[in-house]
Amino acid sequence: MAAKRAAKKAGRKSVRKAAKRAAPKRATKHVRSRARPERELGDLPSDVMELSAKLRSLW
Amino acid sequence: MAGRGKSIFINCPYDRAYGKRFWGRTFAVLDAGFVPRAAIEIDNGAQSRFDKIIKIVRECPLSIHDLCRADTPRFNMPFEVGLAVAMANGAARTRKRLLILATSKKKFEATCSDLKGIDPSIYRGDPVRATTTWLQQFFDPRRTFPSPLQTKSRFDSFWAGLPRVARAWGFDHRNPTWVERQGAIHSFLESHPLRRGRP
Repeated sequence: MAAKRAAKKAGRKSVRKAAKRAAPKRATKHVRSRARPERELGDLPSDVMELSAKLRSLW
Repeated sequence: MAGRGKSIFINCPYDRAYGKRFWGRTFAVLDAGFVPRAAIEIDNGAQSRFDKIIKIVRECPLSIHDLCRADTPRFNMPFEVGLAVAMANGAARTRKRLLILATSKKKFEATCSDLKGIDPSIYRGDPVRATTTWLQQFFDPRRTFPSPLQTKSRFDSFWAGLPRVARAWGFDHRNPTWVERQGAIHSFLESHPLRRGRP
């Protein structure tokens, strides 16, 4: 109904086109489709994580 | 403690001659985002070693068994394969998946004839690629994971720098503890994030 009202207001006959025009732009759609999340490293025991944090600067 | 859903039990020799291959297997498992578990993580507590191995095998839905030494008079590795196979096919139906590695099919069939019909993955000296290739089937397709070639290349960089890092920190990379092994690999992976398309 909202799309139909928008079409009437805009003086257009095509509800579909008016609705498309009224819909907010999905600016991130393209970016989302390309970006893939990195793999997560598994949950290791706390002593391993502590040592890892200390060794990181040595690489 | 390790997340149960992503844990992999690594069953392989722990001696110095196997050292680089053990590093490689652990590296491939960690690089793929899984948590390695091994019988050497067991310290001498009140619980018996056997009970602890049973617990680890039960907790790990995936396991890697390298039977390259199955013909030598040490029976721990074939024994642990037996445990994993029994749990995978037992009453509990735990949906366990196994990777069995061997250096030759003929040798495997001669030393472990009860497992005839199970095709082992044959590898020749490369500790990383067979592991990552197998792990690919468990990857979440929505995420980016390293290819076997990328993991191999990253392991080579890690291996080149390991003696220096071990010296700087003061541990023996030829005979590290389980915590040192995982800590060294994890620190490398954290400081060398995976980039798609670049090894």
